[in-house]
Formats: sequence, structure tokens, C-alpha cells
Amino acid sequence: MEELFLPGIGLIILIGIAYLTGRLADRAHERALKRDEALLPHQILNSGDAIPENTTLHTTKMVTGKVVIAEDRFRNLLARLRIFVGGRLAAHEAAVIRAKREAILRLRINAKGASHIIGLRFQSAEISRGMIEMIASGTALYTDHRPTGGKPAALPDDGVNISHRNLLTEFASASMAFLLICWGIYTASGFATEWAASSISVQDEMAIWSQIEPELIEEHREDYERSLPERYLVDLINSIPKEALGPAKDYDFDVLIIPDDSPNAAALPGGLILVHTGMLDLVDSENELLSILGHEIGHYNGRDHLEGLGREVVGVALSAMMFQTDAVLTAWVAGWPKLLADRDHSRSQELDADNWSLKILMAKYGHVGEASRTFEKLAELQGDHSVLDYLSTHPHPRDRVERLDDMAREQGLPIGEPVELQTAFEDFLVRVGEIPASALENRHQYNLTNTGS
Amino acid sequence: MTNTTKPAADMAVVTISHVPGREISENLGIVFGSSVRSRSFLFDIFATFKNLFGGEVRSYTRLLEDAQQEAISRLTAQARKMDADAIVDVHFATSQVAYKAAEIFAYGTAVRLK
Repeated sequence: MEELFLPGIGLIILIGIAYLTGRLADRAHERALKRDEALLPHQILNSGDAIPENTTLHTTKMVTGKVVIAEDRFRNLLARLRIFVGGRLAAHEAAVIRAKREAILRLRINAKGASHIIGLRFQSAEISRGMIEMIASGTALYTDHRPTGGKPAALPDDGVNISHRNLLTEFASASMAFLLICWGIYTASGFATEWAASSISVQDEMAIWSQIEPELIEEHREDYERSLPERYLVDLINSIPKEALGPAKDYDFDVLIIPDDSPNAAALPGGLILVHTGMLDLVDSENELLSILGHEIGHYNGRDHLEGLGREVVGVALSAMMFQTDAVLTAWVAGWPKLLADRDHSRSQELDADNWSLKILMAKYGHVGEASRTFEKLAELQGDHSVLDYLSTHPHPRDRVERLDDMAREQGLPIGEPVELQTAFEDFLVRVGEIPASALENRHQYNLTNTGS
Repeated sequence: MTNTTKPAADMAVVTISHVPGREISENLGIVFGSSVRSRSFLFDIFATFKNLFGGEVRSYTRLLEDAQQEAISRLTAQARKMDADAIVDVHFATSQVAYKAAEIFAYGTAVRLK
């Protein structure tokens, strides 16, 4: 959540500033144009090549006028939104007209003293994206013709070339249309990924993931060797009776411990479960730990991890297509589909996963003691409900404690004594021959976060 | 919005320097019409695919068509405001003001006919 909120606020501030400075620049340019156009003497501009009759031509001169105007970030964003939906780019209409007026103005300044400018041509250049380049060229005629009347500007009223729309209104309507379309794509992609996730077999998933996985593991493990705590966790998962696992029994589970203080765990494709050291520090009993792992295994049963991944791919593709050159915006927009998918589905998925967690605890220990203990601790850490909860991918831990307890009560599951985590880990170390049995006379020398790795 | 003094059919728009059979009485100066447009993302996706295989990108041809129509209608609207009878020496220019959006720009000389 935070990873989208903070850059989001940054982007909004940036675009807000760009809106203000951009409009100030627009207005200043408009004023300067009006003033300078009024100062210039009357000249006859003509896109044809004919030299006017009834005048004595003294001399001719080729004249040009050029200008490059940068768009501001706000107008850039507005254009991108508009392009997505299609139609007129109201924000750019005024700017391209101003660019032409400026080019003509400079051309006329270069043609000072001339009575006519004929053979007028316009051309654009392509120096950089997000810039409006305009080149005007023509032939200045110096004649004895002195125009009468003194019409001030060489250009007529340009009102017809601009759709007079308030840019903020335009922005609001373009954003609405954009969001509607995105919502449609997002919903469609949901069905597609759900279908895809259910049609990929566990074996195929593991085969595909084994191509990608090593990089992530390489970052955290030397020689791909599991650390002792990791071996213990994998052993714990493998000790769950197979009949308690749903479709997840086909996975070849692996656990990767990530040095991170936030209490978190995640189910990655291919049966790789990530556990933060912050989570290991939080749990006190093996039962607690298995309730967390069981929850993640529950996600594999629902193939939930693939769905989130699918949405992410759709989000990145869509965003990259739209905002190609804008890395910051691309990354930001791409983050949303996954977040929304997580939030949308998660609440029902989390419920299912919690149910699996209870089932697994029952199968392993014959009771569901401490199933909600970790959430109680998390609730204390997190504090009260906040607005952010609505967007959060997981329900508030306090709600989960209640729900888990309710579920256990409804199903009449017994509550028993938990197995202390350190004791269980030390027993494991003896079992695999890492420490002699005699070492256990002094208990509590080893624990998951500071031994073995 | 615009007080049209002449119906559109009366306005001759030509790329040569005179209106055949008529004589120019007064030169009113330069007029222009501009249009900045885009298609929607769906057409952009089709166009991207088309880019793989080659061939005409009809959706973008249509974009140019629409933009040019609008540019011409704005050009004549401006001339009409000046009470012109015709626009001669009309030229077109294009520019890419924003990604996947086209600007078509039409300009010419507004004239009164005898």
C-alpha cells in the first residue's frame, strides 16, 4: 500500500505544480503575443507565390521564424489520458496555434519594413517528444506599397481553432473515461487469469517457475544451500499429513527466510514460501508458526498466488503501452491492478486460507491451540482500525483473530497446549545430527533467527 | 457561436492561386485551421499489430481523414468570419504534438472575388 501511496502523492504534487506553472506560462505567452502582434506594422501575408500587381518591387528577402514550446507535465498527462480514449486534444489545440502565431511573429520581425510576405510555408520538426516545434518561412517583398487602414494583427481571430474547454473539466472527464475503460480491462483480465490459473497444473507451474526462481534464491542463499532454520521450516511443512493438504500436496515446498523486520510471509509461484525474520521473531510456538505456513499453503490450494501474478502482468502491459516513455508513471499505474486484485479477492481468499490453516493444525497436532495467537500480536502492533484498512490486502488482524476463533468454535475444534518453538527447533537440530543430544541438557541455546545461518 | 454570413457551399477552397473563372478583388491575408486528434487505445493496439505484418493502417488513415476534415472546416470558418468568398493557395502541414496524436494544419489565403 505505502509503496503506491507515497509516489502517488509525489506525482500529484508534481502534476499540480505543473498545472499551475503551465497555465501561468500559457497566459504569459498569450499576453506577450497579443502585445507584440499589435506593435508590428501592417503586412500582407499570403500563402500564394504571386507578386501583387500595381506595386513597384524594390527587393525581396527570404525570412523565417521558428519556435519550440515545451508542454508541461499536466498537459502531457492530459494528452495521454485523452489518447487512451480518443478524440480532440483540447489542451494542445491552443498550444499549437500559439506556436504558429509566435513563428509568424518572429518571421514578421525578420521581415521588418517589408509590405508583403508571400509564399508562406509552415513546417514542424521533431526534436523531442512533448515539444511543439514550428518553422514558418516565406519571401518578404519590399515595395513602395503602403497599406492603409492599419489593421493591427496579421492573423485573424483564432477562436475557431480551439475547443474552448476548461482543462480541469477536460482532465476530470478524460480521467473518468480512462478509469472506466481500465475497470473493464481489469475485470476481463480477472476472468482470464482465473481461468489460466486453474488450467495450469502444479507440475507445469513448478517447471516454469524453476526457470525464474534461482535468481531470487541466489540473492539470499549461498550455493543454493538451505540454512538450518529453512531446513527446519521445510521439514515442518513436510511433516504435515498429506491428507490434510488439498491440491497443494503436489508442490515441492521450499522456504526462503528474508532478513526483514516486518512480520510478513508470502506464497510465491512454484511452492516457494517467503518468511521474514520479523515474523520468526514474533512467533513463540511451533503451532503459531505452522498456522502462518498453513495459511500460505491454503493460498496454494486456491492458486491465489497465480491470480495476483496474472493481474500484475496485465497491469504492467497496459501501463507500459500507455505511458511508454514515462518510467515513474508506468511503475505507479502498473502497481494498482495487483493491489486492487489482492484487495478484491483477498478477503474471501484469506478466509479460505485461514480455514486450511486450521485444518493443517488439526492434522498435525490434533488441536488448534494458538492458531490466532500471531494475529493477536499483530493487532497489538498495528493498533486500531484506520481508513487504510479498506484498501489493505488483508483484513485487520483483530478481525482475523475473532474470525479464526469463531471458525474453531463453530467446527468444535479442541484447543490444546502449544509446542514451544525453540524446543521444537532444537529437537530438529538433534534429529538431523547438527548438535549432539547431550547439548539439549541446556535448553534455549538455539533459536531460529540467530543460529545456523 | 460563429455568425455565419455565407453557407459552407459558397466557399471555394483551392490549392492553386486563383479560383477558375473568377477574379480576385481583394486579398484578406492568411487564414488557418488546425486539428489535434487521436484514436482510442483499441485502434492503437490494432495499429501496433499491423506494424508487425505491414499493410495499410486503416484506423490511422481514418484519423488523418478526420483531422483533415476538421482542419478544413476550421479554416473555412475563419475565412467566413472575415467575410471572404474563397481560400486560395491552400497547403497542409502535419506535426506530431503528442505521442499517438496527429496535428493536421491547413493554411491558405482568404480572398474576396469580383
